[in-house]
Amino acid sequence: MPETDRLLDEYAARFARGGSPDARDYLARAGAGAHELRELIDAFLIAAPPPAPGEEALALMTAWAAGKPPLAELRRRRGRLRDAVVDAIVEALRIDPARRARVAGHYQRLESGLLDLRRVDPRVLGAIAGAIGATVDDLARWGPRLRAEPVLMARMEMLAPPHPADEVDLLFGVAG
Amino acid sequence: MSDRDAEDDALLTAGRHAELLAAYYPVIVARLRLRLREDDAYEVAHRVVERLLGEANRGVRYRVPYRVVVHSIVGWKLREHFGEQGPDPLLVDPEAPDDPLARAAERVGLEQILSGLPAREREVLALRYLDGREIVEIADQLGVTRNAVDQALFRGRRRLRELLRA
Repeated sequence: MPETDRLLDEYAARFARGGSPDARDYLARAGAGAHELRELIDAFLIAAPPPAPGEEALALMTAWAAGKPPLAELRRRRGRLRDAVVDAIVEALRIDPARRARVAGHYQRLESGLLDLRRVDPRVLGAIAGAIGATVDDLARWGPRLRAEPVLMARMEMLAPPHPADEVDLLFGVAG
Repeated sequence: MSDRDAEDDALLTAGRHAELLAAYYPVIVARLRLRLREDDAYEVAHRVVERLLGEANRGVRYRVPYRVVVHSIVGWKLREHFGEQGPDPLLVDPEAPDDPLARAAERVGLEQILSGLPAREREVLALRYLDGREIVEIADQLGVTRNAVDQALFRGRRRLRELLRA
């Protein structure tokens, strides 16, 4: 079997089972056939009926559709309190306990979609994922994305620290 | 209209948008991850979902199957990400000769592709690419050897590749 066929077969079967195969792994393995494989996988994804969503994916999308933060829903579904996640961040990043309240504030804003996940330090994301029992990819999948809308930008300006940015601000991408 | 298209239409009519989007979200992400780095893929995927949610909340109905709408929006947002200007596929006059939705609707679904294959190949490919079964499971279910499944997959895949690339 040509390598691109074998890789397409493997990718398509995993996808049909409801998995989330990372196409980049397959493209890397395809070598010179990567371009062809990309087009074949794309055509397959367009043609194939989507697998039925799992219970959690449905619950998170329901939250999203209702205007609620999916990330908070993910944490609740995994039975973790927000305080426990904050403690995990403080501990993992060895943040001065006196700064815990600031961490809690930033984490709450992150969950609520008032901070941009992409600006958050990867170590913080790792600590959050570990505390929730999820992966960093889950956070990216269900995390907030800020849009450059006037209201949100105004809210961001209000969030800007009134003092020079400290370590916690930098970790959450609030400044710098 | 395929079974899946009919199911999507029923969900849309019933206002069960979260179910529809929960099913399509992994497909949207998977398509974008083919062409974008991780952060950008999720960024664009979120834009696609927000657009579809906005449409759903306004009670918009479509003249093409929902999957065509989803994949048209993915393509459009992807082009937008790369700075290419193009008409919003959902706002193009349906009478226009280059209506992108009409073009996208011509791409048939996998179920239709499989329906054109010989019975055994159709059966094997459906178990493999619609149900995600392992080859040994397919052999057991159909009461044939693993080698027979491999051969049917080989022939079917050759035809599938031609149809996917059409």
